[in-house]
Amino acid sequence: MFIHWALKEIHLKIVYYGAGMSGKTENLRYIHSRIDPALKGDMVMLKTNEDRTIFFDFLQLEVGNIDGKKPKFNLYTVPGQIQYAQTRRVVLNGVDGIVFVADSRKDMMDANLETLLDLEKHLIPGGKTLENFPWVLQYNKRDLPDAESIAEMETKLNFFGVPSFEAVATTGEGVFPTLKAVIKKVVGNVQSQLEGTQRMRA
Amino acid sequence: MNENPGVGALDTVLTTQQFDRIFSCLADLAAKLRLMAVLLVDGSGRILAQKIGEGWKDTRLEGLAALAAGSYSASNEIARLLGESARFRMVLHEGERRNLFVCSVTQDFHLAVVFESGTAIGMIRLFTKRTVEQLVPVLSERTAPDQDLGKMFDRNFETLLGEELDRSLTDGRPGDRDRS
Repeated sequence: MFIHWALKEIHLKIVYYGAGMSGKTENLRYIHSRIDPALKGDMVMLKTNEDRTIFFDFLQLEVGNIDGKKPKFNLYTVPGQIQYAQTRRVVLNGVDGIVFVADSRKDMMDANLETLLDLEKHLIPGGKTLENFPWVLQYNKRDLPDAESIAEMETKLNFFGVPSFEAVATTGEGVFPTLKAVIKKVVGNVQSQLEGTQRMRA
Repeated sequence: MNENPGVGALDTVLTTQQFDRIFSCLADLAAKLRLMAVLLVDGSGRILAQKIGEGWKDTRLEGLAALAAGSYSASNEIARLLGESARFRMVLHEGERRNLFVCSVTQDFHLAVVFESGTAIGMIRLFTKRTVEQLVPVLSERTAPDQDLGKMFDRNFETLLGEELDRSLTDGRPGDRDRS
């Protein structure tokens, strides 16, 4: 998080994390397509020739003036493919909240879990774990015929009971609820930390 | 400046006094070198301060900041893979008309400078080095007290933000299907 006191700006960084082709970029594309132009910047996409994310996608959102403060949300995706592990580490630098985009196809369950473990591996050096870091789950591609049941996906991935959402990112279903939920988790986490600090000093 | 490198919740707070001094440094640098733009960004690409020169039309530089920080961070990973014990000192992207120079200020802050191709890179390196030396002590100063941060994030803020999110982030779909 970055607070710009002079401008009363609060910058929060949210990263969409998940296995390759799980739909991270589609989330940002949909958000970009539906947001009031006055509230968004250009969407930056760094892709390979095969339309796969090679570094990150980026989009900045604003939600106007809140009680004299201006929250800004920097949304990033990471490249999901295995060979881009170092790139994912770079993109996670300074992250405040994560949307884990899980691919609902049955044959992607192992990849989803491996990617979740990969995420925690990157959180640990910053003193964070999946238990104490603000994140939410999105079960994407719910429209596919070979989608795993939600009960099974909850058992396999949501062992910490974080908020989870069904989604079809290509049509936008579940995209905004997911984003709102992660923002609320991040703000709640900041408040808890501040209250904890103040209690310790009291 | 309160910094916790890596993943963290309360990473950076920039006070008004710090901002004024930083902006003054950037404005001096921009004027001396006739820069098109100069930005102080953090490791995750957020802009702490910027000075845009004459002739630069685009005032929204968030995308450029994200890419500049990403580019510099990627170069550090490359340095590590090549067995370098320290980071690369700078990254230079040369174009036909415009160049981008990125260098480190402290471990988590970078200076990104956009300049026209006619300007000698030696001049850029010399003057940015001086600016970096001015910025380091400013970025090292202690930040606002926690009670002020508490005011920034009080319960009223949370409620109002929730209402604004519901207004701004909507596509007219019913119910949000949260499974928790």
